Amino acid sequence: MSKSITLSGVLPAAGFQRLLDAVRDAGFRTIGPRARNGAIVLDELSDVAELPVGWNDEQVAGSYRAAKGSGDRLFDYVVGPTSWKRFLYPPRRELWHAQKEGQAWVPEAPADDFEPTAFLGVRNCDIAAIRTLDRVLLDSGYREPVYDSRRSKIFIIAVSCAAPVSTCFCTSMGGGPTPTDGFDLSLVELGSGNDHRFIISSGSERGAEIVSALNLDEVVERDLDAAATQDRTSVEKINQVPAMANARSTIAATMRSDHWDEVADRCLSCANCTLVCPTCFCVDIEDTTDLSGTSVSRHQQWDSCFTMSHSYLHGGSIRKTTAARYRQWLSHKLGTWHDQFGSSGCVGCGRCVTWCPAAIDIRVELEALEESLKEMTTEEA
Amino acid sequence: MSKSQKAEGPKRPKLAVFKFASCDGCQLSLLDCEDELLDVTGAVELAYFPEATRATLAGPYDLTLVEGSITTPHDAERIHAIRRQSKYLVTIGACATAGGIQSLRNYANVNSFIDIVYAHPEYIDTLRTSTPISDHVPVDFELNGCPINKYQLLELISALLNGRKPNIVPHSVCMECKRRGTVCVMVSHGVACLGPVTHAGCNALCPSYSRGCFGCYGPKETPNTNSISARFEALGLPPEETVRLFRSFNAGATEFHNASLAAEHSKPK
Ligand code: SF4
Ligand code: SF4
Ligand code: SF4
Repeated sequence: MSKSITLSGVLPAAGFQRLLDAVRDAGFRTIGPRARNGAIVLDELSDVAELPVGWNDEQVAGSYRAAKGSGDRLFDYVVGPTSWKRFLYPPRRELWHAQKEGQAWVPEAPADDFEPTAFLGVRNCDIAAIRTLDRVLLDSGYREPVYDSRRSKIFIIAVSCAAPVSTCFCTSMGGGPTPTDGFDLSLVELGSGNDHRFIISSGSERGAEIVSALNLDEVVERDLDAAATQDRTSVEKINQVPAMANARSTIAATMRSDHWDEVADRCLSCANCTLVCPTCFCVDIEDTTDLSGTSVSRHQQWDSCFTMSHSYLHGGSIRKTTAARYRQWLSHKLGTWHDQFGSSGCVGCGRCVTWCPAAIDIRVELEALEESLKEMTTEEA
Repeated sequence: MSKSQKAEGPKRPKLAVFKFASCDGCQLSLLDCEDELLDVTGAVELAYFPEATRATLAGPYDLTLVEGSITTPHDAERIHAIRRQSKYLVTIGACATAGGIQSLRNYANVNSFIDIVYAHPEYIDTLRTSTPISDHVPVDFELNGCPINKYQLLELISALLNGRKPNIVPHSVCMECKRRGTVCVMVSHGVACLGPVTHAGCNALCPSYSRGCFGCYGPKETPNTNSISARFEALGLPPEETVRLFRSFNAGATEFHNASLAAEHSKPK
């Protein structure tokens, strides 16, 4: 993907279907936001009417509510329970199977049938999450083959966030509401009604090629001003988490804090946080046989550091308590991830906060750890 | 399958199915394995399974599936005889594993029910409690669920036949929701859901129909029932509803039993 970003032009919202069609004609199916069961999930779509037109969401720790309002905007909500990880690094897949023929085993690895896919409506935190997964699954000495192949087949259409919620904290993790790179196309949705339009930027040659056929209007001063105002308003709405700046050292210094036990009183060890997180990559390997023992298969599926089996070594689990498991999650995500992969494992999308059934908020827990560190240091002094 | 077919091939392990206080639903899961049933009968010999065949073979049995809970003095004796005849003894379902819905009797005086239900209470010889099989004899594996999942039963049988560990994991139902992409009903609709404290195995069936989990598979590993009860309260669920949630098919499971008592004591508010 080329680094240079070009302002391509302005697409009136009434012409949005033309963008979807152009992407389809370039050979991509599209996955994007869709309203289902009162939430905005990611799924296949081909028609602009399938987008959550006019929908808004409210998110706080442990609670998510989304509903259709009276507006006509296409992207006035933020990330939902699905992340792009679902498509790049699927929840369960077969690695190989083997059949016994006579005395010989004949192994076979299934081909991955992932089609070239456009991801529509990718938020800046999710671009950062894909980049984080790249570092883990492609650049850390081992290339995860299916992720690698799927990653090369995606076309990213990003969108700026105009309606951040209370669980968003991308600006404390080096991000912000407006994507700056890592996309093929990027959209800024402006106005509504007769004035409803999108500024489109392209971040790759194939992105530029696709929009060149759309006969976009020229970007004028008024559009750029509106985009800048919208970005500023969003930045102001996004919660700042100053404790994140020192997360790595705070956690390293509080491994023995009592606070982990306090969190464990509330934590359900249900694993929701890790499975909604767009960067958590732990998987489990499952071997099965059929009844006759002549056919075997191996599957890979999402696992979590919140299960007992995740830390099972000969003789038992080494993280038996929920305190140990919560500490593993937070200390890896915000601390040792840096040592392992050269960045934080968190991009500030807020999913783990919203989708925790016990309303546990990593920002609040980190702040509490920072407090407990202060207490620990005053006690020592 | 004909007699001659059955006699061919190497000696197959003997499977027995015994029933105690239960509804038969779990053992019927085995017959419900329509597509796989021939493979099952090809792999094991149905030595004792009155729901499926009148033919009975004497023990010992290689694999014994036990359905139902212990509710009578006679059954409390019978289970020991069965254990002695069994190489592997596996309980199937919430009754055998946790005492079943009938363990609600443990919270009341059983004689008061008997007088209401039976015209001649003097003929009834029953225990005061309904207890799981593991309270009486050592159990090699417990298959949870009300009813059990037939795929887990098949997985268990093929694991035992092939000498490997069954892929039956005690983590939360939530992991199944997330893997299949179900939107969390508790977070998105405020519905009380036992999924975070319940053993996986049903593939998160109820949440996929926008219902909270009823806890059919019993407590998961390290269930934090205090926290989920506090969350239910925060969602506005009256304590008596929390008692009811914990006190159903797995009312006799230790963690759910304790959670129901705790919710009951929090009642006067
Ligand atoms: S840890 Fe939470 S906020 Fe950070 S990337 Fe994962 S889900 Fe998002
Ligand atoms: S932090 Fe929340 S989502 Fe994560 S395991 Fe604990 S209770 Fe579940
Ligand atoms: S619906 Fe229930 S089982 Fe599913 S994730 Fe939510 S709390 Fe867990």
